[in-house]
Amino acid sequence: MHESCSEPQLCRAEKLTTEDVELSPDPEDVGIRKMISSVLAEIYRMRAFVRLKPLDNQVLYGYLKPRHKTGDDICRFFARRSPFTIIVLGNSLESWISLCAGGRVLQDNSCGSLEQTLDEISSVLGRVEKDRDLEEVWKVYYSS
Amino acid sequence: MVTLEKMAHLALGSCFDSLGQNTTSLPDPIYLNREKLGALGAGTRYDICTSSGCSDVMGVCHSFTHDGRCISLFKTLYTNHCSHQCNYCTNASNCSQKAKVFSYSPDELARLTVSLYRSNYIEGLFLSSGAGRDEDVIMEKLIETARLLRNKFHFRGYIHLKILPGASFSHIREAMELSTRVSVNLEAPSASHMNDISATKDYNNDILQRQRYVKDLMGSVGLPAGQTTQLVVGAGDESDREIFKRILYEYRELEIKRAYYSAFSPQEGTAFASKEPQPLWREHRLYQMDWLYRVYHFHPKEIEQAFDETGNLPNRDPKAAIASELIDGPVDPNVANYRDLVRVPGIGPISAHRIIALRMRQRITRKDELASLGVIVKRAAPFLKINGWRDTTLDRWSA
Repeated sequence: MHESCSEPQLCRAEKLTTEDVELSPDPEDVGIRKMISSVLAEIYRMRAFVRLKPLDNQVLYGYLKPRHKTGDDICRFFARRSPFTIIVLGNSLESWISLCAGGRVLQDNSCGSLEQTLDEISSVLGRVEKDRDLEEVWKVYYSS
Repeated sequence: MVTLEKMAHLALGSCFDSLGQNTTSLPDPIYLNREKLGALGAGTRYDICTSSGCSDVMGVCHSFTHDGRCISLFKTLYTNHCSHQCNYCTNASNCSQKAKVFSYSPDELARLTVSLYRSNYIEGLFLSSGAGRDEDVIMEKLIETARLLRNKFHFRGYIHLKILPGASFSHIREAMELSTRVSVNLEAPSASHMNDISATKDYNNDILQRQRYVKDLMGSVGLPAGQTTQLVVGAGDESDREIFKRILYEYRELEIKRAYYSAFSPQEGTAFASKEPQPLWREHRLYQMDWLYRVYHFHPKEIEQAFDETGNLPNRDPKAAIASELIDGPVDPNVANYRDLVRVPGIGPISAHRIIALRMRQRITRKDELASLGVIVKRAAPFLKINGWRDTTLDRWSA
């Protein structure tokens, strides 16, 4: 969802058809069209630019700081690409976790920062932590 | 919502993951020979997978999905050793300044691809190769790489395999079963032009026949993204009209999905080192001509209008040239059908459909309404009549 999408806008968008979104000259509909473009563009960009590092063979993590509320969607995308691998994306404020198992994508949204989430996963899995360099992950993300 | 503990349990309990069956530890680390990676990545510089040019980063090429999304592919040769004598190629056996010869093993290349894929550096693999000493042996290696990716590493991403000239029917079949797309490089529009640029490739047997094998196997094997081909433009003295005739045959008879065009650029040490390079605009105009046929569904006789007296495309938008010759009078976007709308410069298939959809709700009365639908009004305006008023300055419509 767009970062500044309001409830009235959401209600209006739900009533629009695809044609309305593409063609309507109404200023409110034009505004919704621009919001949709912005969200879709971010999803496309993040899917291309996020870089993942292995925590171990069961977990891949990466830096993600989306402008809009797209973290869930992007995390799900990577989970489907790597079944039975836990995907953790996030930044210093929030994180998203997904796992694709048996054709279903499972998600846990009650997450803190990326650092906190990775600590939690490491303790749950009982893994010895390898050299985890979040600073490096961020740099790779930024340069890509 | 699912708890982290449940997710961890499911992940730990999996017998398969994208690294293969019963993996409990990471695969052996891959020692990256950067010289090899660079040499074999650079060797695919002229293997085209998109019409919009290639990345400057060796080994990474960008292509586009059907929905317009840009994706990165790991583009590499399996080996840069080749027994063919193509006069434009630095990997040719008769090149006097050949680079050091490198080769991957199938396991090494598959592991490298999977590592890049899991880290999201790439979404797929574009694998070509020199012919080595024996193209059958090299084809077997390419197929083994794809087999390892699909079966051992459960790789579900995009794989584009090059079919080497002269590859056997059974190898082609196996390659198609494992790939998303395959391609055989035409390089030239006819056998006589091929003889000018390569002494060792038999155009009909090594290339056209292999394309026919792919077409024949499509019914039984299937290939999600079909087959493509590419030509080197300007290495010989072929005209754009000859290229167009060949491409028409490829689309109609061999049912290829796309053709790519690579402007010739002389390379040091090759037999063609002193030839003039082809301007990039020639490649650009060929792509525009290709789109007019493939996407806009122009008839070949319409496209013929774009060629000059030498049989070449001048450095001018072919669609504008055709429109100037063939459009009889100003087009009214409120009544024109789809076919007439897409023949107007500045109006493509998407904006033509939008015009038709919009005029069912309201009459189009202003140019800025067309602009909001994606029409490039500056190009379209001379050919349009809106609300009885026309902008045209075309001489032959002045009366």
